[in-house]
Amino acid sequence: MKKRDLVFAILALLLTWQLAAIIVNRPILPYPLEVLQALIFETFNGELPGHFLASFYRVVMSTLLAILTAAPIGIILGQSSRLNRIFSPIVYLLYPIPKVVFVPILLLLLGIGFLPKIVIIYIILFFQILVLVRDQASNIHPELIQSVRSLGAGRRALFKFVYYPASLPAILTALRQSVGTAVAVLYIAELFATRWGLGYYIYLNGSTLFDFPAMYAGIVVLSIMGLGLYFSVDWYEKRNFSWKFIR
Amino acid sequence: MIQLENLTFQYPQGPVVFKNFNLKIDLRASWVVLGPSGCGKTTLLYLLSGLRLPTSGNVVINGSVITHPRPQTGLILQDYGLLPWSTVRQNVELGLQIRNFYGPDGKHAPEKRIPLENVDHWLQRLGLDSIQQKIPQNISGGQRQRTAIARTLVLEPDILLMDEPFASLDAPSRDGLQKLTIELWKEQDLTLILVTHSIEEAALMGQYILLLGNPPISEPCIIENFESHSMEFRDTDDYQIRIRQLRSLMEEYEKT
Repeated sequence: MKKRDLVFAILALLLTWQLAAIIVNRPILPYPLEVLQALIFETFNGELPGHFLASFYRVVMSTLLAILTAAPIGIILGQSSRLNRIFSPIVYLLYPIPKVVFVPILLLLLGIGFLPKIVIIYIILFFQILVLVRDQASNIHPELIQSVRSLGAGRRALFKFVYYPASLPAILTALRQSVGTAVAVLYIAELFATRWGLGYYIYLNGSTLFDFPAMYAGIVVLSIMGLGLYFSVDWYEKRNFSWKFIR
Repeated sequence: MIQLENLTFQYPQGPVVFKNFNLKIDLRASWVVLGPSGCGKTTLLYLLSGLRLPTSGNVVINGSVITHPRPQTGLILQDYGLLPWSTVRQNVELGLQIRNFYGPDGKHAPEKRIPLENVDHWLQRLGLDSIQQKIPQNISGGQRQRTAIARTLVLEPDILLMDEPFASLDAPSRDGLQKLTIELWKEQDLTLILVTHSIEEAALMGQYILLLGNPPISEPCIIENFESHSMEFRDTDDYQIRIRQLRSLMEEYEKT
């Protein structure tokens, strides 16, 4: 995506928002400028940065944990058709379950604080990364595997020289796809048993304090966080895996 | 010497490809395996490389029964088998990296260590030094095949197995690589075993041509072709005679 297109899209979005606010003409949809003022005020005089940091920490921690556990398991399952045959029915059954419904259970089991929020995002990302990495690893061209085997590679060398580097783009694709899900789940997870996080901040301002400009400021920050994570992964992928984008 | 002793091979729940098949290949000879698609040419190469093991019987190289890929046997496949994320140089270094990874254990790597300077020699010898930092997608098919050859020769093999190595190349690249392969075979004292479905290539490249028909294959049909092994051979009447002979033999084989 070109920078010019991005700027144009942001301007179009702001214009639509402005027009919608004029048409609705109610406090529930303030003008973008009001939201910007609230955002500046809440950033420098309020607790918005603290809420942002809490949310950012949860997303980053859960994502890192998901990569570090799901990616190696995905590669192992993709490498071994026997193991994949044993475990794929379990993955197949668990993958489509909407895991966000386990938030109350995790709160009961793990208590309040950061842990249950990190765990619920982790579980969702874990399956997405696992499935994508496994599929990527199992779809590596058999001739490539045989070629490298003929150079003397056994299972360990294949893992290091073929499966691991071949799976890195799949991990990043899974991450990119998961960012939106992670932020949505973060919002829901932060509605429960916490006083920190953008989810809590948005809900508090929107449903309790009825401070709609502050609520939208929270939504803007949450969106910027999601976009920032998305673009970071996108940039890293294009920078390090340029071979994947050549057709 | 390479010997196939009473070799039988069957894919799991698949057809029998070889049945009590015997063959002897002298070292430093060049052989071409010729036959239609699905006749077992590639399977034979995989058996010789140790990537597949016989259902019964043995593949014996220099007196040792092959039970796993042999470090001194190089294999080059049709689609080159290059790592798409690595540069030409990294691909050429791959075999050495794998050997360093295991150390000289005699199974994955021979006990003799190969110096890294070998990489520069082969990059230069195969005309790859100017493109050594490029990734495979950014180079031509001929250059990819040269990279695959360099990667194999860096490891100083004594046997070179090639599976339809020039099939997807345009005519000038194919001619250049056929010439190069003949040169390298002579230069490096290699035992060359090349699989092809091209009669013209077989007549040009093989001192011996092993003709395979429909499986299961029990008896080898070997044609001696000692006049070959120079590009000039293609301009001779003998070459045309050999091609006609091979064509009629293949037609006979396909009928049976």
